[in-house]
Amino acid sequence: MVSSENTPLKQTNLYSKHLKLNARMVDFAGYAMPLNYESQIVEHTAVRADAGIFDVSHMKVVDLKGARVFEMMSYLIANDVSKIKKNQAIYSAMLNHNGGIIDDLITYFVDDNYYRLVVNAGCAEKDIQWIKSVAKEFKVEVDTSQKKSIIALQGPKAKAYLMDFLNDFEPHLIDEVESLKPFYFYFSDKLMIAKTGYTGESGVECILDYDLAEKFWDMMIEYGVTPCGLASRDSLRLEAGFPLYGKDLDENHNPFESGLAWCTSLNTDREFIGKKALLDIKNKGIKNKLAGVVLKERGMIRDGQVVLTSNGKGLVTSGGYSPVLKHSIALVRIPIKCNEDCQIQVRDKTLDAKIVPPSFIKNGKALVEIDAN
Amino acid sequence: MSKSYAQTHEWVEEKQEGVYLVGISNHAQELLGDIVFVELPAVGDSFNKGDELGIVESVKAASNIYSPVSGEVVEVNEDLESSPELINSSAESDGWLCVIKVSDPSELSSLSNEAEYLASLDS
Repeated sequence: MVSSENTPLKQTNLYSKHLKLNARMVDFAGYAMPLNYESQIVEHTAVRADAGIFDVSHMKVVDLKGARVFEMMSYLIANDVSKIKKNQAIYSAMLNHNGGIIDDLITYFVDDNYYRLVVNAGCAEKDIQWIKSVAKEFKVEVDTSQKKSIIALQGPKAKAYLMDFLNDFEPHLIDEVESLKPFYFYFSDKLMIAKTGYTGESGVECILDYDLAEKFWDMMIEYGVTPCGLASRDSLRLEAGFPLYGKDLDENHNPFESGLAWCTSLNTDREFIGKKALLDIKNKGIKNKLAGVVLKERGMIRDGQVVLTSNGKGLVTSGGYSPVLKHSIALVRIPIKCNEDCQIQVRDKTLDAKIVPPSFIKNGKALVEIDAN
Repeated sequence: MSKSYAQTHEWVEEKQEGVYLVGISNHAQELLGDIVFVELPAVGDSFNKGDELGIVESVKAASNIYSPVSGEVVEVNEDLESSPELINSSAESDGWLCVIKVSDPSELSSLSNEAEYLASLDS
């Protein structure tokens, strides 16, 4: 496979496994990645009901080491790392000096001198450049050389499958991993298991050495875990109300209008990149917000469509379909203080929709009621 | 029963004299991905060959269905309202879209047979 510029696509370590499972492959951020193996809706449903496994090794692991790494993290990201303990992770946006979002990422507090970041594949190059420029001042070493697979195992049965794997390969870890609370992780260089995820289900994201990753993947597939591609990953995160960088988040929008005020910590003395700009924006008044919509009628909401609200026009940032609600859903950027009823301009029609908090399901069940109009 | 195919991936199959089933090809449903909604014409609507007959909405994109023949819609597949995925699982059988009473049977000769249609996909 080659990219649009005719350079060969990068492959993750599990590339041949995807081909063996008949995945439809696509170019994502320069990597040949599985889009879907069969029906993306079947994969999506399997994650909500049982468990699914995702190769997300295209994402970038960035290890930060040094005596002043805590200070650096305190300055680098919008959320406050002093909130987390060792073996705990935190989700945050990383801002530029205008308060725009460079990327969203998860930070893992491994040790007093060691934080691990996992950043988006599409942003990796620019993130690393940015992080290196910030690291200089704090004399922190930025290591991006790790050769690891990143595998997500998600769903109500994910834990049981994971325990099967640990039982066979790492039995001494069972007790520790069993008792992991959400956003906590087990760390070793060859295997890291974090109770995090991008689907809205419980489960783990693991960073493993290549050979262990292959054993993990093979065993999970053999045990009946459904292989899931980028398409179902996207529909799952949308249903869960999680933003996607490049659609709902970008450098031209601040956290307040991107649904990330909750993880932007402004209330302390802490200096961080973008803080001044955000305080300025807050003083001037925040005009837009990221919300969810559910289409009341039959049809599909697509990215870029116009939203008509009682307080002015907005835009669809992520449009899609919810297999749980059996309706089209979307994340939208709209004016604040508008009524619940809105309309979406779909091709030549204007369809009725309902504005809801940006989270459509929880524990596999719908959070939204759609009136049968 | 043998089908005839349009370049735009619709097929027709004779149901009775002058009355034809219309659907989209298996190749088309594969390209579309999971289909979630179908906008079908109404019984009684008339179309010329090449007119937009309806729309198939998949998770990936909205795709127009073009009428492979001129005529009047006499039946639509009501199952597709609740089960649009029938088009994915059975595009050339249970996933039929509608039935058209053909007004100009000579149009059928410009459609391809299955072998010709499949060969055109490779080019």
